[in-house]
Amino acid sequence: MRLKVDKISFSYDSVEALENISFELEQEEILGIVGPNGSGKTTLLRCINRVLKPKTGVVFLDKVNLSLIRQKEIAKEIGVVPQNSINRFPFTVFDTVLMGRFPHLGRFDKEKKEDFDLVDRSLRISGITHLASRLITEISGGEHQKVIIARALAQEPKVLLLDEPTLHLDINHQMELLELLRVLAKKESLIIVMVSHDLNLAARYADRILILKEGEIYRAGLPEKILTPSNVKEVYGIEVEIFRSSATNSLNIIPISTIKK
Amino acid sequence: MKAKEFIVKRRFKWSLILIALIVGLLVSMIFALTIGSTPIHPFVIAKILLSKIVNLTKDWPGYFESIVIGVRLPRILLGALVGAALGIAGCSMQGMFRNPMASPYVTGIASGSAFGASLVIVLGLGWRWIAPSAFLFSVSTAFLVYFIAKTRGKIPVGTLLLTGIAISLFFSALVSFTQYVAGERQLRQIVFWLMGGLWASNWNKVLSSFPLILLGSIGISFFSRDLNLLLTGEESALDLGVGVENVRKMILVLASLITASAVAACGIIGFVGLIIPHIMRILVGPDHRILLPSSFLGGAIFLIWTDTLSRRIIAPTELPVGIITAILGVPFFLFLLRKRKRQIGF
Repeated sequence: MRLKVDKISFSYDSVEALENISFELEQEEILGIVGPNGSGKTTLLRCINRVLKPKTGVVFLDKVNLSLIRQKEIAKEIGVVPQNSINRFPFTVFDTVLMGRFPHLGRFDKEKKEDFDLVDRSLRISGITHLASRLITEISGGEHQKVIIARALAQEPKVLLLDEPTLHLDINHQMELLELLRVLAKKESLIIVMVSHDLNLAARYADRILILKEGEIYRAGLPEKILTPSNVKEVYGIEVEIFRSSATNSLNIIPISTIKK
Repeated sequence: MKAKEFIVKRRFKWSLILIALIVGLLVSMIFALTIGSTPIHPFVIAKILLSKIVNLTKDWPGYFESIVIGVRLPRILLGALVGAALGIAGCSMQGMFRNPMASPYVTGIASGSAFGASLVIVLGLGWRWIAPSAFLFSVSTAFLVYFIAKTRGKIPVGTLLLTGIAISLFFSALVSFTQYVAGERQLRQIVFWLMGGLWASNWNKVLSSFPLILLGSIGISFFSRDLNLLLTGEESALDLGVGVENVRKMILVLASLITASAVAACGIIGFVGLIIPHIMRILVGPDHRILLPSSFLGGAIFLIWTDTLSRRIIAPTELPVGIITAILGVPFFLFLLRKRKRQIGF
């Protein structure tokens, strides 16, 4: 399985939001998309599953051109964990995850044993089986994020898109969640695209990093190749110190000061 | 393991809710049939109803039959139909708009039908034209609102609600005008119609509103999963492949049609379509797979009881049922609301 984003451009009315974005990902790969506020990260994510329709450019999943298939068919291939998914309606965790089966069910179908089994499995993989009968309005933010991941897994996707999945989570839950993503990429052979504000987490857990700047790809590649002080300075406008941690063997980015313009 | 237990438990719970509501509906109907200026024992009611299906020796006075079959039964059936229609239409509108203030009348159906009815009254066209005219005007109002609100193939929620309010005000002004030019007797008729009530029920009305209400409700129930996803947010719904705009259009059309047939049959009955879905939401939760049928059945039960009260409370005259629905329903709703404020989600 291969995800190919081919020369995507998008604009909100007259404002150019994305320009000529291309990249390719293989299964088991995690791509971290980073960049300052307003650089088009979320827009790019939403163009990939065509909830936003790119002005030009195409997304391919293997040989399939996603612009030629229905939204419901895309939802069978691409699961999304949105940035703000907090639901104030008291559905149970189980039924929330069951909603992930929506793209696989026809209008007149009823949920079958197969669907329940998949919910069961998704709950287990996310480690929240014990929450099944709880209301999503009564669980913690970290647990809620796992519920939404489980819902995406119930879609049986090939690609998982996450928009700042660690936002609002404490350090412990951040790590736990990213470890889970890494396991998922390997065990479920998923392609994972994750937008993040946290350069350290992106550097540690993503196989490749894509830096967006003003709607264009500024740099893309291995974390150690592109997360350099000069690149970070150019994109974010801050001085940083970057070193490799001996404990995690991954890059650490320490902000030092903002640059006065 | 846990999940399997959960499914079994939930299935049991939902079946229990549905059985309780269906039994409640049947009991309410039988009970309402016994009540009136001539009290009739429920046992006799059962026998009269049975005699329509199987052969029974008639050991009851002949006029009992005309009271039960000719007068009370159509009224109770129409009450149930209208209550059910308003319940499920209100429920789907609230879910679709994600707005607790939405009611079956958001698309201007109430004032559109009011104008249709008062026009017939003022022009003196005769009673039998009131229902068709009300139906025609309410459906056209709904479509008018829909097409005005539609921008670039989409129906923005805020625009639609505002358009509905604006068109409602417009038709309300027209209704006021008809009232102003109406004669004394006509004015009385208009006011009566506006208050809504089941006093003019007959088998014709039951039979003419039955198919649309039933088919429309079944149609809406096929959108339960879509409504659930819309409730969790438009973005999530899109991500999971819900055709948001199409679902909105379908729900709008179906809910408007069944509301229009309810209103055509018995005028504007407020409150049921707004509050019954909320009451059921508090009782059974936000999941439309159980909430829609519950609102349907709950609306039916509620209107049967309030109508029975409305025809007995100051007998031999009767009150418009809308007065009773609000006076009885509001305190009950507020009680539930205070008790379980957090549970609704709205």
